[in-house]
Amino acid sequence: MQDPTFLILLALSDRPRHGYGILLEAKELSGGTIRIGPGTLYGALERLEDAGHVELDREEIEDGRPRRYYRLTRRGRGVLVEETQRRENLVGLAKRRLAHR
Amino acid sequence: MSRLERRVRALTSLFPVAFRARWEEELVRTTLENCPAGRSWPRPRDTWDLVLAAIRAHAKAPADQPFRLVLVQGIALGATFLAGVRVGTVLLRLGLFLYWLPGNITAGVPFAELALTVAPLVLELVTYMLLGVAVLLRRRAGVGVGAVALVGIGLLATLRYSGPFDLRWALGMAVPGAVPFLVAAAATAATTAERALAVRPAFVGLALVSMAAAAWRLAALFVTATWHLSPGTVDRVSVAAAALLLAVCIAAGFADPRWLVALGLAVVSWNAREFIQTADPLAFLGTAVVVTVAWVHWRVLRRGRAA
Repeated sequence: MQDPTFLILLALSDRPRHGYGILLEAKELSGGTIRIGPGTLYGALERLEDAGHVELDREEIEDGRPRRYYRLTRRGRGVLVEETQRRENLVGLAKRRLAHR
Repeated sequence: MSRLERRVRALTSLFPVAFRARWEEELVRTTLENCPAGRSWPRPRDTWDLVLAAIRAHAKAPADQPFRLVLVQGIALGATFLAGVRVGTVLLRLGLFLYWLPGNITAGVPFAELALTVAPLVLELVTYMLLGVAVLLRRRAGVGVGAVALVGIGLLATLRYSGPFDLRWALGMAVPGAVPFLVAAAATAATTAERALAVRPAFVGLALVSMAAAAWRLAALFVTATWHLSPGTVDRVSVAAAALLLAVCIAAGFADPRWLVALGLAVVSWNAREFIQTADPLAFLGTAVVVTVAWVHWRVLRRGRAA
């Protein structure tokens, strides 16, 4: 899983968010080091929704435009937990190897 | 609609129809919100991100489309690709013309002769540019004018041929000479409402590939001048590099037969041109490879669908 996808899932892990909310939260979570663009965001959302990892929470109309909020599904949460574990293992491995030098 | 929104919508129009139907309004809104207040152009980073995302969206395999539609999209893609290469060739020739212009003026070459050399090149370049912009902006009249001009250019090239009417002539007319007609037909088809659903996504995605080819051709202008390569050699190298790029895309798992059709069209055109110059049947080796790969690819896809 690539960093932007991981951050999108992570951004949705505490509460439903709309597209711009996801971008802001992902930037915050990465400490400003990873900035996801709108095109990347919706490309990823399409893949995640098709895979059943993310689903529509609600739709609101603001200023005459639709504002959709997305939430993590149970399957999506499972994938996020697995990916977090995988990354944690990798970091642990790297730390152990570096400590030996 | 603000100027910024109009520009953002021009960028989102690069995405496939199905993607736009599902995400366009949200995508526009989020892009606008992501722009600092007071801007009339989207940020360069967002622009680049939208273009890349559009290419990725086009690269996905078409979902259960009939073969006829896939074939049309592939041909449109190939036509766009060949048009891009052609634009590169014209740019190269224009560049060489400008490079030698001071020398020609010093040598006293008549102005009328210089004008006759450069006018057809400028006309062709303007036609391709007009056609590209008209297709992107969906201006039917512009596409019509561009298509008619291209057909005219194709007919002129055909009528100017002075060699014997044999197999080489037939191939020359049927394949490389058909590029302007092919592009004109694909561009016209792209404006028709129903067909636009099928053709336009491929057309736009492929235009991006051809822009890359044209950029390479422009760079090749400096290569020919510095390394003393003939434009013909650069032509072959650029088509081969682009074909290789497309082959890598396919191998990387695009699983999209449209790219293979486009690649086939480019390689057949390239091989036919080679055959016209050398009369060597081995020039069609690449075509044989493409046909074989296409057949295998198609069989695998059919089996995958049946399973």
